[in-house]
Amino acid sequence: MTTVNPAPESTQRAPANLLVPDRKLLQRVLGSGGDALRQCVQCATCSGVCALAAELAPLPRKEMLWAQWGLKDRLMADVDLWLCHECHDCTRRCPRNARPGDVMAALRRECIAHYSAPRLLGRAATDPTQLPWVVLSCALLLGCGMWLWDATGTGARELAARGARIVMPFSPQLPHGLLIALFGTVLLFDCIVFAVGLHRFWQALTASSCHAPTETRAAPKTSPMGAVIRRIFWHHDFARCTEAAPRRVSHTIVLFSMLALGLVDLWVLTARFNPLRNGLVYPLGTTDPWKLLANLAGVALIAGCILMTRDRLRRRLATAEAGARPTGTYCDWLLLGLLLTMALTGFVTEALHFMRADELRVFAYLLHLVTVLTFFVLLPYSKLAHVAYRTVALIAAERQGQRRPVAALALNNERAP
Amino acid sequence: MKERSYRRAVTTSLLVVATPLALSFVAYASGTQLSALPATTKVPMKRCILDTPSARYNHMTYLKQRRDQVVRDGSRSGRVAPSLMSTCRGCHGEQSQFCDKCHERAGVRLDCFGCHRY
Repeated sequence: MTTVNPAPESTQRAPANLLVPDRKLLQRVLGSGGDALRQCVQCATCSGVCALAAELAPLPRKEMLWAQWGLKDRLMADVDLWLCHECHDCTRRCPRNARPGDVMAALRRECIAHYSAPRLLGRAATDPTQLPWVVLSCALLLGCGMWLWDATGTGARELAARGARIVMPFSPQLPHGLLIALFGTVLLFDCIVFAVGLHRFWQALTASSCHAPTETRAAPKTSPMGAVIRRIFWHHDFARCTEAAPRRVSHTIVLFSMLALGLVDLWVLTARFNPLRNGLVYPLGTTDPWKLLANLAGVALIAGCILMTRDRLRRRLATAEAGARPTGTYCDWLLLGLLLTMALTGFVTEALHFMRADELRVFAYLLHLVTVLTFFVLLPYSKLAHVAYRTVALIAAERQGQRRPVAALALNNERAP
Repeated sequence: MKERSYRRAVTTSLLVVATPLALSFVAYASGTQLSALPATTKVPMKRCILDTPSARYNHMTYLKQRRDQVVRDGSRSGRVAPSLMSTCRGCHGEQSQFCDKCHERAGVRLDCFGCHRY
């Protein structure tokens, strides 16, 4: 394997400095959207047009080269991979049609799969043939939970609970205690996977000599974390892209609607323990502010997903028109599909509830829950893992000073003294 | 989208997201919450048809079964004769205090009293 950060004495010995390519990486990048990678002739048009590239450490030219060579260690510890927001300014202007934007996206997917554990689930999340098994396992998990709750009488005990707060579950077979236990466990699992993955990622980022801190930059006025949060919140990086300016709007809509829906979920699921509430706490009335917010956010989520889908379909068409093979970015479609399915099954359940179709309502609710469970199980491996990985990478970039001199980037690595 | 209108839109949507939480605090502070149990005329517990938790989750099924019993089988037998006017109202005095209190709050539509008079 490549030694990313050779110590000065070890660079004297040839074997330690050999670049050993990872052929599997090349195969996987070629197979998951970056199939035009081999077209690249390193003309650097992409780096020239990229609005997010630092002046002296441009991307994505060097990532294209590293990917062609299969230098996995270097790519997996590369902050710049995550500075890219997939606007495809480079893809549009690439004279060789090598689609650097898609290659960067494929490399980011590879990065998530590389750091997350267990790897088996990580690979399953990127393989469309595994999806039915994942969904089936989630359905089975939910079924087991229901059976366990029923057999042990936990559900009956919960329904018989006397207290200051009345919670009527949407279906007596699916009391809130079961949902809290099930989704709490899955969320805990997610947190552990994220913690392990991000720890490895952070270690790699800080160990990499590509990202040695430079003393040329003045100390930043705010903390890197605060700067990154502001940057993400206001979508500054999206605003700098020209080709995909509308994505700033759709990404904002999806981000905030998901936050709102998460907030409502927390409010509803913790109703039984919430000191702010008493009396009949669930179901929420039709004009309850939380209910209105949930409906509004659901509509916004669907609208945002449709905007994103339109954007992706357009790019797909443009790719096909340019004579290249359309990209098979399964992970993007999986996330969009899961979000849309979650929102739609949610609304169908609500409609069936108002139509008083009780059996259908419970069936739609089960479908909804299985989709949500699949979403949470795949969360640390799916496209949505970028929430964590990109944030960490941006913090690393802020800490090191984004516009660092090129000498710190390349010379340590690529030329042995 | 212009930077200024974008910022305005994001700020507005944040306010919208924060509204329910703010309103919940207001409701908590002003104490406008529903009591845990709907009002009933004070009667000894032993006369209740179902205990409170069962009634809470199963009253709809119970009422439908009694309805079928009366309408389809023509029978009014049982520990408590299924009759809205003569037995139910004995303890559960007023519709507005008993049924509607929870149902309105929860947004669950009642279609009993389109035909029946409480």
